[in-house]
Amino acid sequence: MKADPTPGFWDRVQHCSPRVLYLLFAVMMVALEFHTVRFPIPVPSYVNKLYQAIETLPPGKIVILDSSMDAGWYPEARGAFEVIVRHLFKRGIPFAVFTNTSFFEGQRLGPQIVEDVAREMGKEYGRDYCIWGAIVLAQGAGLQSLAKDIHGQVKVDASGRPLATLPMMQKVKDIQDIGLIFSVCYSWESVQWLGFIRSVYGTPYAVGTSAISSSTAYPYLDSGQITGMIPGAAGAASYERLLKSPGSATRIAAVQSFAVLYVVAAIALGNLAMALAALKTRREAKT
Amino acid sequence: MTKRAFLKTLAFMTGLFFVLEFFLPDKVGGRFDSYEVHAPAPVQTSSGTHLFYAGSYADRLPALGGLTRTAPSAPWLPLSENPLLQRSPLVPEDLTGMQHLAGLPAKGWIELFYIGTSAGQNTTLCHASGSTDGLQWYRKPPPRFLPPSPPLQRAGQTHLRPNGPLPGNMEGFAVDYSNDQWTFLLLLRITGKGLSVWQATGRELTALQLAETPLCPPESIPADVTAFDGARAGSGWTLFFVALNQLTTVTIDSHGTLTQSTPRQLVATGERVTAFRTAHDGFYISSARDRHPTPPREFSPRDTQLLLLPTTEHASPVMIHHPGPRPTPTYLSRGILTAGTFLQIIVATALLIPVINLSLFHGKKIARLTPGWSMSGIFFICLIGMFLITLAGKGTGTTQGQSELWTQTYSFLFKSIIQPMGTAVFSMIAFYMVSAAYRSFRVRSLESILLMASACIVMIGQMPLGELQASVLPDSTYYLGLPWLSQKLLTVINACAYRGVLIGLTIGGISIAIRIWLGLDNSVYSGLEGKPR
Amino acid sequence: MTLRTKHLLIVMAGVILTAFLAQGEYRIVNHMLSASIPASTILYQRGMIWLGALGTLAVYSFLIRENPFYKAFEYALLGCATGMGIAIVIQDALMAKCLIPIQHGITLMRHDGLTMEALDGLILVIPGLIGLLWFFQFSKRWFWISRIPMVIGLGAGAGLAFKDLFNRIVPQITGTAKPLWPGETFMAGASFWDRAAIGFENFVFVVGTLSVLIYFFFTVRRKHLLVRGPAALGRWYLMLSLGAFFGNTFMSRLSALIERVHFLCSQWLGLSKPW
Repeated sequence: MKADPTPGFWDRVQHCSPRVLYLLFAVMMVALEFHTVRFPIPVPSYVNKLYQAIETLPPGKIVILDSSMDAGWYPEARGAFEVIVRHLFKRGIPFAVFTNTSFFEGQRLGPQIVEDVAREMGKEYGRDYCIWGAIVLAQGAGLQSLAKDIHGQVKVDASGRPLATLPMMQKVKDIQDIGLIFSVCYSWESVQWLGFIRSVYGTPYAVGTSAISSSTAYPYLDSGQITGMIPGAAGAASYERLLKSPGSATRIAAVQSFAVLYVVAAIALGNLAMALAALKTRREAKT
Repeated sequence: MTKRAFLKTLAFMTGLFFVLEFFLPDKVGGRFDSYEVHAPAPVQTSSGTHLFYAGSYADRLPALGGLTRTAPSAPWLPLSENPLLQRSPLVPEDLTGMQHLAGLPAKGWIELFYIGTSAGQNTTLCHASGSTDGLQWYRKPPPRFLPPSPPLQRAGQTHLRPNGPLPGNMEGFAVDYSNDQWTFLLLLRITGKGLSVWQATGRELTALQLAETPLCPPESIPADVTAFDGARAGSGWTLFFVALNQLTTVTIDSHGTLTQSTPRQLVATGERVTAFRTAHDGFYISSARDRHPTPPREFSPRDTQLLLLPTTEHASPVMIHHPGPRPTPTYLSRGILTAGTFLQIIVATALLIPVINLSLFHGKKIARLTPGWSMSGIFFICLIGMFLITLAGKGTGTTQGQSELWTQTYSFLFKSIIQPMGTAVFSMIAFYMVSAAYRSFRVRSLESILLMASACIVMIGQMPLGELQASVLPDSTYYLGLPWLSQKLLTVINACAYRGVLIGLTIGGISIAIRIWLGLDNSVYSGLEGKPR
Repeated sequence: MTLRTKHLLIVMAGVILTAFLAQGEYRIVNHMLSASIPASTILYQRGMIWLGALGTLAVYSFLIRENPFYKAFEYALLGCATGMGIAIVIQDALMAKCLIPIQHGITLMRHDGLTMEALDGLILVIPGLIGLLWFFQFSKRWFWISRIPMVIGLGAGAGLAFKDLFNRIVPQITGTAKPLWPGETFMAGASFWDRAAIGFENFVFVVGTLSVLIYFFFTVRRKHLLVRGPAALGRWYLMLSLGAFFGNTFMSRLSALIERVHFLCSQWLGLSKPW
């Protein structure tokens, strides 16, 4: 078939180089970096549920914060992790940061956030929070053993001190002393808290996950297997609204809000160009 | 025995251990209240005094137990060896907890109320009716409270609160039935305001009118209240607040004047009163003490008991009931810990293999100076450098005994290479997605329209822009707001569609697991003759 | 445009860019010095940010075309991540779980003889040795021995996966049995319209799950009358769900991009305010 010798304007728009789209997108992202418009962010029910679960945690139990994040989605993970750390510090509930060898970058990223917030809020290591030494997941066997005997599985904290010497860990023996598990993981199903802990012992379990894999968590939210969820930066921004302390997630959500319009506009323009080009071809065929 | 048969047997035996561990019980023996007893509720009937309580076999597995005595001097005997009322999957309100029981006789039945905790940690005031002998029990719908002036309710919100739209979270309650009228005193925690006591009255349990103002404001309630009760005193009320182990009484006369008593110690220091009910013969309390020094891990970490405390000052409590005999863990459940450690070591060693392979690949490239060997060189330098620096300097900043230089170097490399580049590689896909959306999201069929519309609604609806769009709509057309639409798309349409996929995936996963376990999957055992296929 | 003009333009752009970066750097360093931050800290922090910024730009340069600048940083990232991962496996798994307990067991045995506590550590020699069998992968003749730890892992994995999947799926199946007309047990004292709204929502949910299951049901021919309609409905549900997946995926990637742009503009160039 012979190519159209003079492609029309809309044809050219329809088949423009992707680099033009990249350039426009990049320019818009840089421009949005400087905008200061703020709107309130919606609070979905599952974010609110997690907030309420922490507000009504029974006394005498600690919370496990699973730092299974990696560098790729750190901007989202940071928001989800930080809001929960702030909330727990605010309520005075001690928590332990859980790390593992599969998501090894989380051994550095999660504790860094906790230590920054602890310094800011004047919290003490060993009394208000602690960082467990990493465990090996081994297809869930690690978690299964952890539930039965925490001190046997996590013998030392991240800096090599025996766990039993930390004041907050002295009364914590097994999973019955855990009030909530909050897992921050890119694909939350990779750390099998649901199958080995939540379903067996009924410990409330909530996830902070990337927006991508949040889609897979909704059936579990519906069945009540997951107590609450912070999906991506938007979820973290909603939580920041509940905590009344806007931070990095609110800022990301504000920029995202306009950036998604670019995609919506791109879809609309692509379709418009297709329709107009097709119309022109049809008209030319008639004449 | 051939190599293949040997390996299949080995896989089967290992799998069998873990499968048996799943099917056989973790512990054997024990009573339904072997883990914990709490929340006593005394009820005076014609045949004597019944004392109902909540027991649990393990943490968060509540069941209703009962004791009875015919005379004040007679010993307490169990009503039944089995629980009187057990949790049921059909009743979600009290699946994981029963707290603060209260019972009273009314119209020839024993009416029992308690605060149930659902799997999602929501609390609900639940209701059950029992025969006067305390043996036959029926669940009833939860009592429903009507707010003084009903706020605008959006459809679909009511089912979340079986007790109706209460202004706060319920932490305790007291109930009274006189002159054919129910009166509830609710201890509510209102976010940002603290605890307050609210009165609700009505002839029907499905329509209890909540008062407009609290009976007892937050200022008159001590901090850290763990248990609450109330009793009629003339035309007013006496409220009992227990904070840890201190009892504070607040008297409210018919004019609403509050008088607070000085706190009184109920139980020994170090114990915590978890529930409190007042009756004509004294205070019924349950207390918990953290077990000392170290309990075996299969036991409850707390010591719990039901106590009767005479109302006179300085009298010591009388023991009523301790948790029942405890279950014993099986050999299998003890052995799984060792098996878990074994598996962790074997799996961790396997992680070294791909690294050795990768190093061999790049090593060969450098040795033979094949094109691109310089890149392999960069890979090697970074691999070895980061390996040594991580060994020497990994820590979280609180590490003792590690050289500051190594920790700083580790931190430098992590923050300058791994973290920024990891995020950059991840974010690059955004550019490709924009291009893909522009080029291939074309309206050609109903399906493509659905896909496109759903993507746009989900993207904007979760964002501040969606909230802005919803805020300009009138309240009665909330269902046109993008946040509402995106939530329904995610929590209903996406949830049910993905659940269908999930059920299929899981059944497939289980069948593959069984095939591997039983040695039916031969692909695992290929290449045994020294020639990897 | 002649080749010479092109080169001249590139050189000019380079000079302008360098001047811009140098003036930005001068401003930032000056600001840090005035806050009396020690010079070594400034060097450390700016070095970290510069390396990070160059890495980020290298990755984005791939959008134009593949180039050696990108490749060098890609291999550096790969090397660093692998090196860190392997160090962590050795330190946190092999040392902490195996070698140190064995060493502890030997010390105990020397002092008190073969007690239960010493045995707890010494017994870990067994998985340690089984783990070493993995290295027979590199021998052609004894290759099959490396299958021993593998089948142990597979057998245990099958048992564990069975438990994990079974525990997770049962509430999913029971949770699908939703009341199509929520009665008094489910919605005590609710109005007719509230019940109708929830009932409709549940109906949509149950129909969705069933139709998607039918869509993936290949035992009956796709053209069968009973399967055709529900399968088409299942396809629509899946399309809506996949649209939501697309939207969520884009938002995730976008968050990372926003953070990177902020890093470049704020921390590297000092043009915008930090969050």
